[in-house]
Amino acid sequence: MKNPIKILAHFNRPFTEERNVLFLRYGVLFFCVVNAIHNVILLEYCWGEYKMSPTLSIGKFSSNFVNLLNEGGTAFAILLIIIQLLCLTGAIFLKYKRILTFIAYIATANLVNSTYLMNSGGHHVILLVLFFLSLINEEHTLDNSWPNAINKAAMIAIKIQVCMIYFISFLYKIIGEIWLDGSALWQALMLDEYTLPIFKEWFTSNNYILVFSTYFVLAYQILFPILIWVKKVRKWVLLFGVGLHLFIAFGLGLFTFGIAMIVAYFAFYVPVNKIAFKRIRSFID
Amino acid sequence: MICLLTFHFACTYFYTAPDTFNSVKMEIISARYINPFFHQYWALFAPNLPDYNVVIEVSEKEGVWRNISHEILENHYSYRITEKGRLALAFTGIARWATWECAVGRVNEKDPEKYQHILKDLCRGYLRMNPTDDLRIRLTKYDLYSAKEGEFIF
Repeated sequence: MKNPIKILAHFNRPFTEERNVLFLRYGVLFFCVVNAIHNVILLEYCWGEYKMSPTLSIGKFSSNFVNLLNEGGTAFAILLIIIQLLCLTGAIFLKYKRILTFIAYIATANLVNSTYLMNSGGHHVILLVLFFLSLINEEHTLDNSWPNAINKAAMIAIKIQVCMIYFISFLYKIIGEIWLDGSALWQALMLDEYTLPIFKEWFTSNNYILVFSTYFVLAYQILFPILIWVKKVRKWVLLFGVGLHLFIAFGLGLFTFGIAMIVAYFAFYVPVNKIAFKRIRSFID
Repeated sequence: MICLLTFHFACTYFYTAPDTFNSVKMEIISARYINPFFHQYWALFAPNLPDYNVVIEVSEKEGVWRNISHEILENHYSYRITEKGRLALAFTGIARWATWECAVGRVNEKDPEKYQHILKDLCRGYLRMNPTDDLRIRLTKYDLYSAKEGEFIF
């Protein structure tokens, strides 16, 4: 009987993860700035005359809210990019954090959905993190209050979402032959779009590293959702994850996915202690 | 809060999990809640990766072929953090779908050459051509496990 009460009490205790939320906000802003630079360079291909992603067939009424750019339109796209970046910056410095982040979420969803052919999973990671961030106002930390409980629930949701990504991906991998026989990473590096010539040469001459790395990825994906909740090993789990995602970003060329996952890690750990954080916060204020 | 979280992540599981560990009925029901705001897909290089590479060549004039796969991929290799990677992803992704479409005998009833049309539009966009301009595309498939010469797809 003690455990359920403990879980329920968790939502009534004051919200203490302001540092994680601030790092998440900065991380998401960084991702969106990089993405905005990409989009502006590819403006004509994303929403202009040479739009590459075909229009989506919208089924539900609610889909309209996140598919406003379905037919393209460069001026509207630029407007949404400006709104997105302004709202994300505003959410860091101003007190209307929930509403500003929600507006940024809607703008981002429209930008991402209209360029789906050019996106990686990283765009969806950031979208989901943004949605949950829009439920958080780290200034509302009064215990036994609804805003505080919502903060706590949203923070847990971001953490579970990251665990879900690894767990679901693991389920897909164990039904694939190439993952079980250890050849998946070799095959990925042989595909033109997921390789880098220097990696291709080095790794293929050291085949045992590829087999080991394939099994390491499998083990990491199933162990992450378990070990991340153990405080003693959390730092190491995340360190391995950062290494893995840097390899995905630069080795496999999925830059946006690698960076998005590293950003999402801030939900679990921030490399700054409370005193240093207070100094940073007062500097920002 | 606990009920909400449980409901949300149960729906997320049924929406994203592979068929082997899922129920079709639950997948359809959860899609009603997940779409469009929480749409996600996490196969990530699984269950199996393609075992071939595709090369896209285009021709505006008779007999002159330009290898645009090579151009796009070389840019992607040289400028890793730039937007070039996103172009490479779009082109190779659609080229693979077009290859699949030809291999399974063009199953899409409404538009039997759907992905070939999308690929053509992508190439026209990349070359900054008008949608009505004449453009010929050649798609060649190279097997990863054999040193055979490329197989001409269309």
